[in-house]
Amino acid sequence: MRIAAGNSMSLDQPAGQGSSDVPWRRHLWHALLGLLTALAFTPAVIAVHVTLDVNDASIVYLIPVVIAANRYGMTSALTAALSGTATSAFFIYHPIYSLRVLNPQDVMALMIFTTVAAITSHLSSVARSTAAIAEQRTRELEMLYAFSRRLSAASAPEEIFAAIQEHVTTLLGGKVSILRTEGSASGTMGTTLDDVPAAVAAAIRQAGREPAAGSMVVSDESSHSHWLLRPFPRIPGPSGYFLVDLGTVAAIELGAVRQRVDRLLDDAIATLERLDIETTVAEAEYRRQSASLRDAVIGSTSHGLRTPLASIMGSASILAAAEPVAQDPRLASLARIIVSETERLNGDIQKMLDAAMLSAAGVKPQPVLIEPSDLINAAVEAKRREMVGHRVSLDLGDDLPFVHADPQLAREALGLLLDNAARYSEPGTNISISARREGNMVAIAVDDEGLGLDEAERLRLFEKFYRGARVRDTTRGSGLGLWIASSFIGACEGRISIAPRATQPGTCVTIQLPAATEDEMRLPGGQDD
Amino acid sequence: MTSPAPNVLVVEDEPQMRRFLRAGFELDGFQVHEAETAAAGVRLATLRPFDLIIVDLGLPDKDGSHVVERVRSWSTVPMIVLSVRSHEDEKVRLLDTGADDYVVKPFGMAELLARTRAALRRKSPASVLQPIVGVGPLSIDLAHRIVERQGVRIQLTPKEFRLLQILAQHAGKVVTHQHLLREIWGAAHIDAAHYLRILVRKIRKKIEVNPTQPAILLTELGVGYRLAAPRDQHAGT
Repeated sequence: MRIAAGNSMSLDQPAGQGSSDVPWRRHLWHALLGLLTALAFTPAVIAVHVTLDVNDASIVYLIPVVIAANRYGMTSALTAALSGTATSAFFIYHPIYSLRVLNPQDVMALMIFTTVAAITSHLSSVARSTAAIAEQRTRELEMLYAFSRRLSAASAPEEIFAAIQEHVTTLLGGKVSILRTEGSASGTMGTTLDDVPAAVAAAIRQAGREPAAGSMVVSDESSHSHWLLRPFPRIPGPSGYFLVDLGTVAAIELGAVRQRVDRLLDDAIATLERLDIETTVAEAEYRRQSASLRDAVIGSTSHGLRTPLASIMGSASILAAAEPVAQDPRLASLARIIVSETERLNGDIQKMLDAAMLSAAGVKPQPVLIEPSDLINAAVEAKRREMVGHRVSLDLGDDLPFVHADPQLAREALGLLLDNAARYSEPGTNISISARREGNMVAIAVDDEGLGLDEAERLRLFEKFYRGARVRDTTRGSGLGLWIASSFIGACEGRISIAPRATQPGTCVTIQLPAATEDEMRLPGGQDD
Repeated sequence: MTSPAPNVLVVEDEPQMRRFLRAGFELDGFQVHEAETAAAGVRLATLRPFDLIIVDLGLPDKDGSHVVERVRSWSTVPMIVLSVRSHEDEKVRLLDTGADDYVVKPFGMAELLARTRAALRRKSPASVLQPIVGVGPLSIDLAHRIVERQGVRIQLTPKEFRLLQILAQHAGKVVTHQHLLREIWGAAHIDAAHYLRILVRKIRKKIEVNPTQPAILLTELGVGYRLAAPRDQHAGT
């Protein structure tokens, strides 16, 4: 009986209230545990009785009663209570070493103890099973939550059906498979008619496109096993079956097993209906299609936009240098505008592509060890034209460790910071770039002498499309630069931060990248000779 | 660039690109020949010798790297690749295939001409026979294995000299990490790029005025290293 045996997740029986197959044996075991718990406290009770000379020492037995109730439940607690009454009568109440109690006051005390113990054990065990049910509910909710999260993250219908199959399998604690008869995008789902016994396949074919709503049980003669077939949720959309392999079940049990499995499937199907599987499947399919469309757009944009840009910039650069144009300052300045605007457009296209790539799939960095000064020099060289009106000063430590980073991502990120520094500070001012070691990171800081930051900007500048209120109308920008930079640096396992400069107006943006270890800074023995 | 006008073959499918390349090269005294496809480019290159070949990477029939590979199998003609993509991996692949340089679109004509001059200079007979390569204040005597800065001899370990020697033999051209690692440490250490970083840092401390602002041993980030253009033929870059 593969389905029903020892299934702790069974929904029809709240946990903690007898889910064992042989209840009497478990009760006996719990009673024994209750007795032992009570006996363990007997020396303490006697000690209290002798040393303090109190007659009502039996009250101490409430402790094992509560312990037994909490740990093993009602049976155990009642046994502990009765044992407590008996041992009290035997050891404490006159005449001792006899179960008889002669003093009416003692009889009264014992009766009160027994009643209190019984009530306590009942209350404790109720509390215990309530806690167990709550825990069970929490587990179920967590499972359901994980399931729905998996559904919403799925990027293909196949993933959704795999999730459903796993979810229902966990609920039933047995072998469940899903067979889709239509609506399967590529027919790649795990189970097909070829995978199931011939009798099951025949039954499905016979049921055709409009199967009855309820379940049916099919016996497979060859393996002596029974299969329960249950059509999919009563919703339009993909159709198919839950197939549950019941294994070999005696005819007499079959009805009960079937009822139980059906009840669990009812629950599972209700959940699926609530989660609106049809929409989820459609959305996953849509996500898959739009992702491939986006990749195609990114690819063709970079070719389709850059090629005309290359012709424009190349032609304009020749015009700007040609004698008739160069001799006329007005014409020369126009030609230069074409060149510089083309460069700017190219930079914006690069940012758009970077942003699209980040949103689509994230970046896959290929980190290597980089000489920090190489990284900084490359970024400065790439942004030479943008910073042409500024004074650029470099302060790079002599013996900085190498950094772990993807060269392209790190250079682009640093370049975007230089871009910003040049854009948001007056020409003629200083842009200083410095690098120093900070713990197991290397910090590269870009300082400008521009507007600086207010608190709102400091908090939000790394957001996609955010632009500071003070520059929004005066300076062109996409609001993507810092977001891309922080995404690239994050992909390199680095950190980025922004702050107003401490001693003067201006902004300081700092990138931290992981430093190489001592071993990575050393050639293996004798290698450099 | 006097006497016979140098011949340049432009392999490019976009008509606008061909027009501006033609104008730019002709204004600089080149004679320009054009091909629209990879197949036509390779065929033209076999028919007559060129001084320079410009190859676009995205050709309609085959990838531009195919042209580089085919032509390089029989010719040492300088080849410069144009591409819209700027991935380091691709630069490395093209340089290892035999391209001399790599220019990312969009670019200005002045930049392409500067790269062209550098590539032509490397192939000129004068540079091939040069036993002493002079770069800035540095002179590298390849025959006697002596390196001097402003007349003062610099002590280098064998591996340090080997690296400078390889770069000097390709002076002005980027030599990829893989190429250098294979030559210096052997094929087994082709992935140990940090050996190279450490060695370069040591050399820079010996030869550069400011090792963090190198003027002689230059880095092409993510691709390789190159020696700055040699002093003797330093002409207008």
